[in-house]
Formats: sequence, structure tokens, C-alpha cells
Amino acid sequence: MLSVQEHVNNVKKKDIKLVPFIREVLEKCKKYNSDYNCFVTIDDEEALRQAKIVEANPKGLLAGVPITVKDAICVKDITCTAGSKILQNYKPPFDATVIKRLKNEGAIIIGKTTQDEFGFGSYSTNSAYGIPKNPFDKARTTGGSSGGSGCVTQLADFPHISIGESTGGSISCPSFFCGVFGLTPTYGLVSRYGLIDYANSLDKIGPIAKSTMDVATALNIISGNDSFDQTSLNQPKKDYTKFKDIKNYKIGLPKQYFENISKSVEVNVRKAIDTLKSLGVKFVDVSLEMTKYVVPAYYLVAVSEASTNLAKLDGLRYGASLPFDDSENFNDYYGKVRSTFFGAEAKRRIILGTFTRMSGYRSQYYLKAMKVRTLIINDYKKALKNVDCLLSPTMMFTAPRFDEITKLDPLQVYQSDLLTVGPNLAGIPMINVPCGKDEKGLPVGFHVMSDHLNEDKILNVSRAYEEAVKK
Amino acid sequence: MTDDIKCIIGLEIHTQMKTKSKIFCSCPVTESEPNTNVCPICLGYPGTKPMLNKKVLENGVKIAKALNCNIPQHVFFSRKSYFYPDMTKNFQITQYEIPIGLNGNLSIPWEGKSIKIRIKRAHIEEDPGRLEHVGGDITNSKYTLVDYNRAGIPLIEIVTEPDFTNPEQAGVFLKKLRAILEHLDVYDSDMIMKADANISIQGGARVEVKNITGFHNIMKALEYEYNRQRIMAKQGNFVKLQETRAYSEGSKTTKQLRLKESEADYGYIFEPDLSWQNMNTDRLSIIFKTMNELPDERIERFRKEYNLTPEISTVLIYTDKALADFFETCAKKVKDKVLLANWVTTHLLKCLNYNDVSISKSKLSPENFSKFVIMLENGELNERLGKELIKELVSTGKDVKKLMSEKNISVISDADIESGIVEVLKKNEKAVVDYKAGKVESFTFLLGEVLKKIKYQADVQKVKNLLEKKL
Repeated sequence: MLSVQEHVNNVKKKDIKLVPFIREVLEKCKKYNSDYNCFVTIDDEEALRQAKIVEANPKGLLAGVPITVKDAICVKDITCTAGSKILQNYKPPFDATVIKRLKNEGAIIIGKTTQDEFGFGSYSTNSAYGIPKNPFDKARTTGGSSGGSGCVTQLADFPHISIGESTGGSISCPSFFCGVFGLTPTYGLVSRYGLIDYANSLDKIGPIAKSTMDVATALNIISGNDSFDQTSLNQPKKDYTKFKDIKNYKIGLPKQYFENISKSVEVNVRKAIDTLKSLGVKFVDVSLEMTKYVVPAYYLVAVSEASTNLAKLDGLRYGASLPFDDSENFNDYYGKVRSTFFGAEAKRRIILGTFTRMSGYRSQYYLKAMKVRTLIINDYKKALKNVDCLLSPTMMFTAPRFDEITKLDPLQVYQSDLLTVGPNLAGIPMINVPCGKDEKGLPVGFHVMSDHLNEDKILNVSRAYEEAVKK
Repeated sequence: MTDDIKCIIGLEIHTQMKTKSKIFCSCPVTESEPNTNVCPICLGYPGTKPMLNKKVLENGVKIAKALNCNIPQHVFFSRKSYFYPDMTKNFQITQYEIPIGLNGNLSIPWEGKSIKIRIKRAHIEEDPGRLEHVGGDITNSKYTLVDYNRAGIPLIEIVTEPDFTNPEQAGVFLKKLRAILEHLDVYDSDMIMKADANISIQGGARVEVKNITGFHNIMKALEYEYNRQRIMAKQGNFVKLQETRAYSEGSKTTKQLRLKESEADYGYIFEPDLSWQNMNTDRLSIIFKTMNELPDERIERFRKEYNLTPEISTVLIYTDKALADFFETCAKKVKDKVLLANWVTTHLLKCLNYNDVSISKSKLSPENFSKFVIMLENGELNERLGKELIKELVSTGKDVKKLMSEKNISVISDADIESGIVEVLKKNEKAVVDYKAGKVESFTFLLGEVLKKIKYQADVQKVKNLLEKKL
């Protein structure tokens, strides 16, 4: 299969007819969708319109590259639901900054991928538009919340990049379960303008693709300061596709991240560590003392912010609405709309998040979690002081079956994010690197993390490993 | 007033801050057709993020400084959550824990002394939209329309400690505050000042009068409530339970809205979409340098430069900054600054008030008024004629000389005065004889007759001198 860059070269040399190619991609995506339910929207018309423009004038770093986008990210005039019924007819009047940047480079937006409602979930089972299925076993999850993005990236037999979003692990988790590369950048490296918020202080947009090179290519384009997002960082641009040798890299293995992981995950990750050792990487054991606090701290911060974000969805200005009843006041109406269109997990998080910031509880939940978060950031900073990166399994086990998931209570689901929520809370960059399969043929991956803005380091590790196992 | 019933008043003042655009987007703040000054950001569309208008922050800093407040090193915002149809996001971006100004004070002149009013805090926030209850008020209208033009207009809220002992002090404070805001150029005289007032009598519970609009109504509401509670107290009848009242402009009374329930719970969280603003000393000193002269400084300068008393300067400056500016423009031409100031603060001001027009909206230009005062200075006009003319100067804007010739008003020559005197003396020989015999009253009588004869078209002192000479 061609890499994104090879494809772009072909498009520019007109070695490939772009419109028929995109038409074929659309047909394939529809087939994937009917088999795996990985899309909420596929927009033929818009994709072909863009394809014609690019075909006529092929320019840009992503000329003619098919892009799929998590449904929480706004694409102008294409329905954007964030996986929720309450936004079933919301067509944003603007492009998210990342979309604008991708379009400027000639990318073709194919459609919007399935996700947990507002990103609330780890298995994409909280989607209001059907549940995406794992490409390796339809009875199993793709992971979440960017499940559709992970799924279509694995299925695609054409050059393609998916744009996902992570709050507590929503890029890493589906990348792991679907066996693809998924990078979550440093908080603030990629503009969030146009992302439908889950928890604003945690949300990060990042690329999911079949190779380190494709991920890096996409990151080059979507990263960088944006005046429309005040939390976006103003940093000199880096070229992430210029990989460096990792000989003499020192990588820390956080001991807490190897506890309670399944045997097959451990075996594969240890094998990958050996491969990296053979490339000259030195490994040291490190300890992340705050690990036991990351899940509660993450969920407290996330639900507090999420419950305020969802308040605007009241059926008055856009999205789903219901007929007004003369006997109702505005509160009754809001209640009616919100109870009708929000899913169970959204309701749970609204209730939880309203409680955690109520006066009388605010200081012991919300404010305390914010303080613990600072301690967690310091914990990572300390561990990263003497090493280039940290490495751990991305998830504790390979893709579970849907019937196993339904048996889990919400707390058990939240606990399964243990390995991803820490770096997400700390806002440090991380990437899932696929490394073999378990005995059932399900993908395993390892997580490489580094200090803020060290995307180049984790990409170097990912690339070196990818090249080493290719040989 | 001299009884020993002690009253305590505290104020919460809200007013718009003068900017070109809204606080978090680039929409204009001008008057416009409903829902036309709106964009996806101020409408809170999913995916949008606020961008802080730097001018708002600057204005806030200036206000805090002028009110002698502590300005925090880091400025940040919070979300105040509640559901209401005038809210586009169902949370308001405001300041909660640490506002832009904390623990300040403002001295006001009171009974020849200066008293210090403590400022609890000053904070920046966004205005919600405007509700229009069609065909009635909130209790009886059939339906309500929402206009979001106002959503996102920057506001400053200033909270005093309960340091006023009567409504007049609060009035002086409000006038001085208004003058400060006008001088800082963060407020326009046509912007609306709103207040919530806390009033109590020692021994009674606190009454909050909510949402009073405009300086005039604030004063009326305070006076009404002050008198109501004092009369009750004199009868040994105190307000027993904390209550919230509303002021009615129609009846000029306050009426109970509700007994105070428990404190409303707004579930505050830190606004995660706005980065912290570092207000280091360098940044602050740059803002301080651009601060205009404040009212107190101006009063002092008027004393030095124009030899005006603080009392007369206070009238010039507190009434309307434009009036003080008008005075200064005229002072460039008029020699006798005290005469000028007296005319501005007495006859001109009376005339403006009578016509209910501000100096900037009146037709009188400073050039024309300077000409007018110079004529008074030179004896080409006297006070009596001047008072007659000024009304028409304000209402018509006609040139003073043109107006005088139209009305056939002029100060007559010394020769004309003298011939008038001769005629009067001839007619009143008895009075002349009496005067020469030492009867002083006769002089007053003769002077009156001369003035009548010449239709007051001369300076009285001059006539007096000429008459004395003749006698």
C-alpha cells in the first residue's frame, strides 16, 4: 500500500485520476460502514466536489489524500453530531482550524467517524449512531471514543489519515484495539477551535494512521498556533517527518504500568522492548507514584467541565428540538429536550459533573482534583527528567467482546483507562505503536510518552521500531 | 435626620465597558436590529471558543487601579452555570475566585471632609442576551423573544463594602465613580449603569433591591427604601427576614420579590478555554502609562491652573466629563476663568438641565460660548442680558452676536447712559435734593430709574459710577 506522501506525489504527477480514486474510496467506505458501522456521515457530494478542485489543480502537502474525521470535529456544512442525538441535525457554519489546515493542503474530507457520545466512553458503545466493530473480530470493540477512526484506519487499503480526538485516551485506546498508529499531541499543540468540547482542559486533536510517517505528515499540518484557540501554544514549527536515530535514547519503564496487565499484552510489549534494546536504547525502571490517583482525578476534572459544556444543548438555538407546550416554562422545555436526546452515559456525566462542582462539594472534588492534577504533572516531569521517553503497554488487555463489556459497571469501565488517563491528564504527548498480536490474533501496542512538546522523540521511537520489525 | 437610627448601604454596580468589539469575539457592540450583531462564538455554537479582547483586560486594569485595588498577578476567568434563555451557553464567563480588582477604596467628599468607601472587588464578565416579553411583562406576556446582540458585551461589576450611611453618600460615590470611568475612557455617558443595593437599618435584616437601572432610578430606589425602613424602625418595626425587592419606576416604590432563600449555587469552575493572563509589573506599567488624568487630579489641576475652588471643579467634573472638557476649551480663550466657571456651573448647567440635554448633545459650541463670556468680561454684556441670551444660545446654537442683533440687544454707550441719567435727574428733582441732603435711599431709587430708562442694557457698576459723577 502506498504511503500518504507517495500518493500525493502520484496525484501531483497526475499518475492517478483523483476523482475516480475518491469515488472508489467512497464506495469502500460505504462497504466498511455497512459491515463495521464506522461512519456517522459519508458525504459523497462534498468529497467529490473537493476531489474535482484538487484534480484540476493538485497542490498542497496532502493533495488528494482521503481524510476521515471524528464526528466531534466541525466540518463546514457537514452534519456534526459528536455521537449524540441532541446534535442530530447540527451543521456547523464553519470549519475547525484543523480542517481548514487540511483542506488548504488539498486533503479530501470523506466523512465523519463513529464515536462515543461526546467522547464519553472507552469502547464506542455509547454511540447514538450504532456501535463500530473491531476489524479483527466483529464481536469485539474497536475501543473508544474515537472508535470509528481506529476502525476505518485499519480497514482502509488506500492512503488515508483519520483525525481523532483524545480527552483521556480516546486516540490511544482505539489505535491499540485496531492495531494502528495514533498520536495524541501535547495539550495546546493542535488548535481545538471547532472541536465540540468534552473537557476543554484535556481535549487534544491528533492523527491516526497506518504508519509513523503518515502520522508525522498529518501532525506537521495540523499543529501550530491559532488565534481562535487561546490555549493553543505559540511554538516554533518542527518538521516531524525528519526522524532521528534513537541509539543512546534512555527510556523509562514505569513499574506501576506493568501491574495487572494481561499476559499476552505483557509478552508482546516485552518483545518490543527487546527490539528497541537491539537498536541501542537503554531502559531504566521508573516509578510514577501518583498512578493510583489518576483515574479519580481525571474523571472528576473531566465530568466537571463536561457538565458545563453540555449545558448549551437545550434545544433552543440549534440541534434537536421538540414542540413547545404552552403549559411549559423554559426549564420544563429544556428538561424535556435534554431527557429525550441525551444518552445514558451523557446523563450520568452531567449529574456527576454537576455534583462535583456544587457548593459544599466543590472543594473536596473539583478543586481537589485540580490540585492532584498538578501533582500528577509533576510526577511525570520528575520521571522524565532523566529519560527521553516513557514506555508502557497502551491498554491492559486486548479488545474485549461486547458481551463482556456489558457486564462491566461504569467504575470498571473507568478503571480500564488506567494507562492512558495519566499522560492525558499531564498533557504530555503519546503514541500507540502496534507490536504484534495476541493468541486470538488481536492487536497489541505499546505507548511511548515524553515530556511536553517532545513529539519528535516519541515519533523517532515509533519510526525506529516500525522500521526494525519490517526487516 | 438627627435621630440615632443607623443605616447601612452597600452597592453592586454593573456597567458596560467601552470597546469596539465584544469581549470574546469580533462582533461590534453598536445598536443594531435584533440578532444581527452575532456570530458562532457569541452564540456559543458547539466547537467555538472564546478569544479574550485585550482591550477589556486593559480597561479592567485601569478601573482596578483607579479604585486603588490590588491587581492579581494572574488574571483568569470562571464559568458561572445556570440555565436561562438569555444565555447562549447556559454559563456565563465571569471572574470568581480572584477578580481583576480586590480590596480597594475610593474617597468621596462629604460635608466638607473626605470619607473612604471600601471597594470589595471589581470583576469583568460578559453580558447575557436581552429578553423581550411581548405584549406584557414576564408574568403575563404570551411569549418571549430573545435578542443575542447584547450577548458578549463586556461588563465591569464593582462591589462596595456596606460603607454608606445614607443614600446621598451613595449618590456622591456614584457620581465620582461615573466621572472616573468617563475619564478613563472606559465608559460612555449614554451607557446604562445598573445596581443591586443592600440596605439595612441597624437591628434589622438586610434587604437587597435588585437590578435597578440608571443613576436616577438608583437614587430614587435608595431613598424610597431608606425612608421605608426608617419609618418602620421608628415604629419599632424592623425587617425581620432577609429579602429581595424590586424597584418599580412607575410607582417609584420597591416591592418584595422573594424572601432570601439559600445562596444560589452556580457550580463555578475555572474557564478552561481561556489561558491565564500574566499581569507582571512590566505589562501593568505599560497600561498604567496610558491612563488618563483622573477626576481628583483634574480638580487639583483646575485649582492650580484656573484658580478654581474644589467645589466648583467638582461640579464641572462630576456632572459630565464633557462639561469639564467644554470649560477647558473655552478657558483657552477666556481670560477670567472664574467668571467662565461660574457661568458654566450655574446658568449654563441650569439651562442644560431644564432642556434635559447634555453639553455634547446641545447646539452650543465652545467657540460661541467663549465669545459670549468674553463679552461679559468686557462689559459688552451684563449678567441680566446674559441670562436672557443663554437659553437661546443652547436651544438654537445661533452665534451670540447674530442673536443679539436679531433681538436688538446691545450694551449702550457711555454717552447714551449719560443722556439717560440727565433725563432721569430732570424728572426727579426732589430725589436729587433729598440725596444731596444726605438721604442715601434716594440714590438707590435714582439708580433703579436710570436702569429702567436704559432697559438694563449696561453694566450696573458702570451706571452707578456715572450717576455718582453726575450727582
